[in-house]
Formats: sequence, structure tokens, C-alpha cells
Amino acid sequence: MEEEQPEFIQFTPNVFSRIAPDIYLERNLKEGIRPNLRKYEEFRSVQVNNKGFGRYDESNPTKSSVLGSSVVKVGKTTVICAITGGIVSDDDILDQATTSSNPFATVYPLVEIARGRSGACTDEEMIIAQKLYETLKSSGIIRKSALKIRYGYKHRTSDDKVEVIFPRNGPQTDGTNDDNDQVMADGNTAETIPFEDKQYSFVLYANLQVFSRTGPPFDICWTALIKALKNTKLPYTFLDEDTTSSRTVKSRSGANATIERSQLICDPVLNYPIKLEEKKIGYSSTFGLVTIPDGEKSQEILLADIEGESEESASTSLVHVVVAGDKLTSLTIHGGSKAGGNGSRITKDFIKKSIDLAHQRSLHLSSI
Amino acid sequence: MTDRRRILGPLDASPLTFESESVISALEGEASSKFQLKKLHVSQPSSGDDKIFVDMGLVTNCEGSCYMEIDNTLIQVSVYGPRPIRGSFIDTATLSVECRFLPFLTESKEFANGNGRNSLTEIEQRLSSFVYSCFVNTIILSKYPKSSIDIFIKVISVDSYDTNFIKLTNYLVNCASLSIVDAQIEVKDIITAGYIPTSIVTSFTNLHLPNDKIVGLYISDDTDAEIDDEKVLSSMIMECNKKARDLRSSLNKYLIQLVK
Repeated sequence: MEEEQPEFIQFTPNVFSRIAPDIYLERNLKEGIRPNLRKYEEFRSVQVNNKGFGRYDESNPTKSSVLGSSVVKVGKTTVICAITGGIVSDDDILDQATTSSNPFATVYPLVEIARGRSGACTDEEMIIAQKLYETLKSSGIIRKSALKIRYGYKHRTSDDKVEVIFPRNGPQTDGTNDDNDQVMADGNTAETIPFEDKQYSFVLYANLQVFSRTGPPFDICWTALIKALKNTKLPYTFLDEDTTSSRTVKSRSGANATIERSQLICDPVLNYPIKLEEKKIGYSSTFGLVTIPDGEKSQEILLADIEGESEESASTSLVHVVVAGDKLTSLTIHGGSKAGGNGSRITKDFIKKSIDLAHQRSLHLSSI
Repeated sequence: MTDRRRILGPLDASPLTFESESVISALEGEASSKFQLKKLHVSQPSSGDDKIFVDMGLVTNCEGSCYMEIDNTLIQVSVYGPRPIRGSFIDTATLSVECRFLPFLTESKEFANGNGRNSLTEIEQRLSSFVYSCFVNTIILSKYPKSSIDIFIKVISVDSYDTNFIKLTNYLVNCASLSIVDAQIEVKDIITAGYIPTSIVTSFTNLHLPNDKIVGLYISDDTDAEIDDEKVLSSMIMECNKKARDLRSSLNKYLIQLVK
């Protein structure tokens, strides 16, 4: 009896990469090229748009509460980052991050990756937000003193005119203690101004929207965050004696306490750029390690800026590198294992190579 | 309950409050010359045509998407589906619309940044249901049994939230309409919306049907005009219709160009 020939099934690349991502990637890499037609160590192209929708955007001022924004497009993935702010009194900060002795501040990021579902945030969103938060803090780009507020004072003069007095050296602190010289907006030094010595600081929030996620989006989020911070402008603030209110609170024990609530008001036009430690600004790169069987032995390949389902699922080890200038800010290694484990073996050479590549990438990103 | 999933920042932070007018406008002297006072772009809803920037298919991991820019109003719509649903068989597709403002656009009292918000605000809900009601009658849902079509609208930026609400509502419909086209979902007709500033938005379909058919009508509650009178209302609708038709013809041109 004649044996029946098995039928061959043909798949389109799309389907093939879904059902057998590892084989799909392996076949591609054996040809010396990645499924997305890049070379092994080639990054995706980057477009950065700093002209945003911020309130103090010079070309296009709006009434929004956004202080800085950026749009970064890497390959097909777009990340929109908006920086907003809040004011917190230094006396009663509950948050640990701000009270610790660390001289550097950070932002509070929220990452949303569009995926056609609503509801609670995913693991990935949480992990990226946490990583952005920590990397920014440890890289020391924003000093806490850069967020300190030196507010002006709005009051009525005897002839019922409203005027605002701002500190002489502008609202930005240089880290040293305040001199108590105030200057009126017309240049005259004020005689006596009832300044409160309560200290306030700005807190910054970042909202990152990721569209068309095609690979691990941390790099793009980080770039967007940095670019947005670079054009972030903080408002001049002042205390308005008219809006200062006090109310009496009765505690359970029957004692009365008066709480004075004074609100800082932001000027809609006057602003100053946030002071960043420019030298410490670095950019991030992600590398994946892929093991492909090559006869008896197996071969490890380092892929820069991984993209697509097949690369993502086949990369058993990931290396994140953030470099600033020639300094390494952050290095994270995921996966990896000793021989015989699941992950690819990460050798010293691979780490060296990825740092070198990340360094070049960082130089390129800082130039745009 | 605090949200432990997100990094929300200090609990006692208060949101930034901006004075409506700069202090320097009231003052004279060095400061005002140092900072050039630019007139804030408070665009009164214009009665003329709005300049629109449209791009379709920017977002790749959904079936269809459209991005629209109207002055400072930025809208992004993604359509997911038709995709299969779990559970028992139903003979038509279910449609869902979710309209979300980026957190900093809505003034949330709970959080200074609005970052910890899960549910839709009242306005978002109202907008979602308006867009839903416009599309539920135009998408041929019976063509897609046991599946769902989800429209996700993101309002990235909006210029002056109060005065341009009607305008925003209007373009949400138009933007969603184009993303449905991009997703190649079968519809009875492409709908476009027209609006009269300060009061009403209507959405129309107008190709196959002998008369322009209204699929949605939104009357803002803070309308200035008296629309008790039937005549006034119908004249307003006529005007919206005209605008919707104008927009439709320019969108048609755009779509034909895309195909070419």
C-alpha cells in the first residue's frame, strides 16, 4: 500500500510567529537578520517631540495644568508623557520618599499601556512605574532643593491696590537658606512683609500613555519622562491673604484647635524652568539574550532594543542599562541562569557589550 | 483605602491652583517687561470651520484607530474588535464605548493628580453614552455574532474644558467614526456630527438614506438659547446638519485620498 504523503501546512509569518515564536525567531536569526528586519545590534529609530501641550509651552500656551510634556515615538510605539504638579507642605509630609535624607527627589509616575481593556492596572504597568520612580531617584537628576518653593505674597496696599511681592532672587532656591529680602515686582524692596516661615515644595506627577506596545516599553517611557522633565516649567507661586482661611476643629476630647489653611496660588503666566542635574541625565536601553540551537551546541545572541512577540518571548534574559555620560546609572538583569537552567547564560562579554551599545544609544538620544 | 498598585505620592499634596489672570498684568515695572505676556489661547467656540488634523492607523495593536487635533484638543480613539467573547452564544455583537480624559484634565478632589482613579467620572460617562448611542444604530451588529466591539476614546488634551465641551463632544463622534472605518467594521453609513457652539450637537448619517437621519442629539444643559420652541430647535438642527454634511464631504475627500 502506498504511504500517504503528509500534507504540509503553510503559515503566514504572522501566524507562524504566534504559534511557534521560538522556531520563527530561530529561523530568522539563522539568516542573520531579525524578524523586524533589523540587525542584531540595531536600535529602532526615535522621534522626539518636545513641543507639547503644556501650560507654559511658549509656542502654544494653554490653560491646562500640565507643566511639561513630550511625545516620543520609537518604531511604531508612541509614548505621551505629561508632567503635572502638586504642592505639599514640608512640615507634614507623610510620604517616606520625601522625608528621608536622600537629597534627590523623584516624580510619581503612572503608566497606562493601551491594550483594549479597562480596569485595574497590569503587572507590567506597575513594574514600569516603580522602575521609573526608582531609577529617577537613584540617578539624582532632580535635587529636592529644585522643588522647594519660595513663594511671594499677595496683599492689598493702603490705597486698595493689589500687589505681589516675590523673593528677590526669584522663586528658585539654590539650596542655601532663604535670605529674607523680598522685592516688589516694581523693583523696590519691601519694608516689612508678614512672611510665613512655613516651607512648601512641589511634587511632580508623570502620566505616561503607551500606544502600540510592541516590546518592553521601559526605554521609551524613560526617554519620554526625561524629555518631558527637560521642558518642565514650574509656576511662580504666592500666598493670597484673601484666600487664607482658618477653621476650628473640635477633637474627640473636646479641645478646640484652629487650623489655618493657606493656599499657595500659582501665577498663570510667570514660570521658571526646573533645575535638573544635566550631567546626570542618561538614557536607557534594553537587550535580550536569545539562545538558538546550533547542531549539538547552542549559540547565544544579543539583541538590542527587542521588539515583537517572538523576540520578547524567546529572550529568556533581559539586560536594562541606563547610562549618563560615561557613568552607569542603572543596570538590571532579569532571567539568566547557570548552565542547564531556563535562561540564557549571561557572560561578562555580553554585559560589556550591552553597556557599550547603551552608551552609544544614550549619546544619540541626548542629541535629539 | 489607599491604592497600593500605583505610586500616588504624598497624600496631603494639594493640586496646583492657577490664578485666572497673571499678577503682572496688574503691575507695571521690571517683571512685566521680563516676561512677555502672551494672551492665553482661550478660543471661544468659533462658529466657523475648525481646522482639523487627522491621522488614521497610528496605533497598531488595535483593529482601527484615529487621532484628531482640533486646536489644542487632542483626541485618540482605538477600536478593538470584533473580537470573540466568552460565554453563551449571542446573535449580535455587543458594543461598548469608554471615554476617558487623561487624569490631569479632570479636577479630581480625591487626588491631587487624579492618578488613582479607576471609574469614569460623570462627564466621561455622559460622553461615553452619547457616542454609544450614536454608533449602536449605525454599526451592523448582526454581522458579528458572539463578538464584541470596544471603542476606547482617550482625550489627551482639551482647550478650556468648560467652554468647549460641545465642541469636544462633536469631535469625539467624528473621530470614533473614522476609527470604525479604519477597523473595517461594517456600518450602515459613516456618521459625522455637527454642532452649534454653546448648545447642541447632532450626529447624522447621510449617504444611503433618502433623508439625513439623526442618530444622536445632544443638548447641553447650560444652553443660552431658548429651545422650547419647536421651530428654534429645528432650525438649530438644520444648522448642525449643514455642518455635519460639510465635514462629511471633507472626510470623504480625505478617505478617498487615502485609498489612492
